[in-house]
Amino acid sequence: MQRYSFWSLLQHSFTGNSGWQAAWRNAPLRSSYDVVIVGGGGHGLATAYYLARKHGIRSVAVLEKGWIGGGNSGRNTQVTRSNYFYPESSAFFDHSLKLYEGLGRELNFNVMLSQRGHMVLAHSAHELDMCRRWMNSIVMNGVDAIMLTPEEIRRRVPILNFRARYPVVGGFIQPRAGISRHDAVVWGYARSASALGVDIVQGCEVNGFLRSGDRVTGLETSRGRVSAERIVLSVAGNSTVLANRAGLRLPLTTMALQAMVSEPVKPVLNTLVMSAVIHVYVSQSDRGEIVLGAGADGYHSYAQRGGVPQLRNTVAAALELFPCFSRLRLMRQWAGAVDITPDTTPIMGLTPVSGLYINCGWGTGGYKAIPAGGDTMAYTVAHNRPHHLIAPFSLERFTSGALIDEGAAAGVAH
Amino acid sequence: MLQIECPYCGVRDEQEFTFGGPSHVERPTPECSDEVWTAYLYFRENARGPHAERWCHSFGCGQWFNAVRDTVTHVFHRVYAIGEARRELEESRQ
Amino acid sequence: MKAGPYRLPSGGLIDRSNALGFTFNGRPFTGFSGDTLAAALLANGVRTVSRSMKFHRPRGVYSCGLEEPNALVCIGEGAHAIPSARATMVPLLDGLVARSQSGWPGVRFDVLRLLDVFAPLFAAGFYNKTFMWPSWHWFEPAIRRLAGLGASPTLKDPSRYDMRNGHCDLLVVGGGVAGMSAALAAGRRGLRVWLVDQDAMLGGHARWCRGRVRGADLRAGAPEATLYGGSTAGTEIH
Repeated sequence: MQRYSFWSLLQHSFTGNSGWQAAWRNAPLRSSYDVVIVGGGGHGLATAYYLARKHGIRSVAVLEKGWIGGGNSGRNTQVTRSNYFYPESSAFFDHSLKLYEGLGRELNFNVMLSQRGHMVLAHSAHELDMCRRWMNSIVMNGVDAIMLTPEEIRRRVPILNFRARYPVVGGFIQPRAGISRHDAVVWGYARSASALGVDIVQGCEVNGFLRSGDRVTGLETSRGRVSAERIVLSVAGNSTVLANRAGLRLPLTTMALQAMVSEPVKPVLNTLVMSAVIHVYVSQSDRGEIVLGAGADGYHSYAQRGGVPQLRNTVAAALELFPCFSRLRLMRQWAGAVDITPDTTPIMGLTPVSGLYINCGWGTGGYKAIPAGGDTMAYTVAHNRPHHLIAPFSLERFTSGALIDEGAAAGVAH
Repeated sequence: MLQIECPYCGVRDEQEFTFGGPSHVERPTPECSDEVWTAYLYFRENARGPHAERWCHSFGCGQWFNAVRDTVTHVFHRVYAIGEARRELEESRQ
Repeated sequence: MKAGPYRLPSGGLIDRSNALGFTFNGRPFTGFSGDTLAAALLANGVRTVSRSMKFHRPRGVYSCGLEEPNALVCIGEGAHAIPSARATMVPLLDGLVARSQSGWPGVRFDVLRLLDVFAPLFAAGFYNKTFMWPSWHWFEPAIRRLAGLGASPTLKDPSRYDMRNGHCDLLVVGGGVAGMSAALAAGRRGLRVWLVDQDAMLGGHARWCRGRVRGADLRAGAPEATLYGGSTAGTEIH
């Protein structure tokens, strides 16, 4: 793998930048692999990378019906945090954040992790109590979080509107949280995986499963048939569609989740700010865009585009918190198709179909989970048993009742 | 902005409505197995394509109704009353 | 009244009897009512209005409408500032204050043009290929300051805005000759028509072409009521 560094940039600048290798191979689909991963987003590519890097399994293909990172990995707001309520969630997401902290160097690809903090605002005494409870749980889980007084919040975010309809009475922050560059995460994993021998096959849609009894033996794709002993489904909003073809039922609802950015401006917001009551979260990208996101559009959709009502709600909420942004123009708006579970916790691990592994149900919070999602799924596939971090996220929990409802616990689902 | 045809009021903006989840979810009897109860509680069709769902005209007449809407194009193919059985959609409608 | 070294003595859509004063980067200039800020700057010989994003190359007014990519300037100050306004779309008002958004110490002499010398180093995606060690945080503040076009106001917007829900039978987008013809024809059939245009007056390209259309000289900015000599009752123009 051609090494990226300032020195290589310098060297290549003398040859007109004509010597750069393609970052990953566009491989043709072979007839069989040990493992086939369906879905070329962050989770799928990370799974392939860790299979090759940590488990020595290199006969791996990642099949992507569109272009890699063209799904939700290319449509999120880059939030990278691990401030969750339940111990199971904390353990998983902090494992992911720790991987993010070393990811740029491990992949030799700058993912631009900016640990500028994730701040949660409270707008009433009751909400402040809930924040304390949430913060205490985070700290008990061994993750960083500190309460903030209104004065401390004002110092960090001077442009925040403290006299909003629901005034800011305090909050808390996870200092190690922040944002990162979503495209870089996808491309970084793709480059390293490809260099390790993983075949990345774009423009390859899965149309059906080949079965033998109660196990899967391969896939019918738009580029031909491929046989594999182990198949991972990592297709987010389309999980129900693919699972149905494999005879697997999943408790998912697919909805549109919008995000939008303003025109790029000079640095003005240095933290990621979230308000549950005013229902928006706001950050500023390293390119200068003010990034906004809120809740899903509220009805089933695979369309990957949201509607005007939710767009207006999101902007109105953002302007309630930051009235100074009123004169900025909205530059771009888009949506992903997110798969939401009844308890807003993902579904990962083995399935009743032998040889088929599932990684889905990330809903509105899959981006921050990419490294741990890939790492734990790679372990699970390599050993044919769930990694201990994802054992609580199995499909069985819906029958046993052992739900992990982060949405209810923290008042915020991802 | 979706334009939704309330069977009682006619075509109105989506902001006047509340989405009520999938239609025709049958509640099993209390003697059912854990698997059947789990399916009732959590497993849904989540169709990619024509999807039967319930809407309430909350800021209009307040009535609930069923609709078949395509979850990819957002086109409403049909609205029908609560209590009516779902009829299959002709493919030629696309 | 000093008209500006590049100002034609006659013609156009401006009112030469109504002079307006404005400042650009603190320097006072004069323009006329009907000018856009870009037109007034060009008339006064102001050629460098901004710097390119990456290599800080000098940039001037490139177009005469909404498609303007270069002449993004900040209009107004403090809470009233409008960042990244296209100078080609800003109608000149008396007392207008406009500033460039790029270039240090100024847009006419920008130290960061030095980056252009190192242009080959900044290949596509160069920021993904470096800045990894010791960590992105070491480089991020400088990169963030180099990014961004205008500066966001930091005070609450003092203006109030209203929203209107409109209803019409026919919406005509574009008020050039075709749009006006369509609106007129529909209006004659009794339809409620909305005619909308991005500019402050109708006519589109007809405002600059020679000749007349059906007897109406559109360069004179003919009032809407006498459009083609027909009535526009029932037609709203935005």
